[in-house]
Amino acid sequence: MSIEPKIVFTGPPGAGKTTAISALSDVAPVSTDVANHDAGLAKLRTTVGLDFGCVQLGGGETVRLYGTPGQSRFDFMWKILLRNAIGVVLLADNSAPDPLADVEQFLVALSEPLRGLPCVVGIGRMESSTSPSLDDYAALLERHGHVYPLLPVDVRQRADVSMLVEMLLAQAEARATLEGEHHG
Amino acid sequence: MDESVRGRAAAVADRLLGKLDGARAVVVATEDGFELGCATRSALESARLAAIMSSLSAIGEVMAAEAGIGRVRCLMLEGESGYIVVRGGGRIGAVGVVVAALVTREALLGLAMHAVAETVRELAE
Repeated sequence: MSIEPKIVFTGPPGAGKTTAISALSDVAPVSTDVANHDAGLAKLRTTVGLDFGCVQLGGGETVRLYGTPGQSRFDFMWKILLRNAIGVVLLADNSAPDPLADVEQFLVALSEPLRGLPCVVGIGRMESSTSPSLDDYAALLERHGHVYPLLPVDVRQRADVSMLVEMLLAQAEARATLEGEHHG
Repeated sequence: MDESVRGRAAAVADRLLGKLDGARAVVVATEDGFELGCATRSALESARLAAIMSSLSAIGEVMAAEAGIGRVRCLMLEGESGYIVVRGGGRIGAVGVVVAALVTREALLGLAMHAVAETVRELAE
């Protein structure tokens, strides 16, 4: 039985994980959004369990898309959802008060599962909030020992989300090829 | 969060713990995973449980919808040394709440489910 690859969208609240999966999924996404009661979070609803969708790529391959809740009180879901994932899309909102700290929180909390796992970082709202820059994010990643593709995205746009997933799959493919050569 | 909401939740948790034979703890959480009230007979990471309860409740709802079994009345976990009964759909004022009771294996599960259901209904009144 072949198992369809699993990709996990994670990142802080408001980064657009639910929106990204909705934009890309070919099927009506599963969503566990409920009313938000955190006054510090400027949104009406928030994900407390998971998001789920599926997309069929150009080559006919189907990819399963999972989204995590963003708040650290749900960090148990981050680890559950990352099991058996082939890669991670880390989303950030550049208009947040401290987007670098938001990203760093995930790099620290997920340091173990991220080890050896392909990852791409999508930064939202860069056109309206130009600071921090992509270079700032790259420097942050480097401090944590990562070199991940970084790109500005509008998670409402299917093409942007598709690009993130394709970059992630390309990384996974390159790793699999390298490992094959190493073992062969 | 309004202190009156927390006060009501704490009172509800205390009352349920007191009337439920074999209860180890009762936690009342917001639907988005904040602890509102907790009554316990043993040490418990109630804030983490509150977050997990809200995830479970939300995932249970989407699973029930997907399977076409209607709205979830309760979720029940059977562990080696006890049961956890989780029920969402409660409300304190404008805040949606989830209630969980942790009971020993010696407790009567049906009674625990009934008591949690009654508590959630009371909250809605």
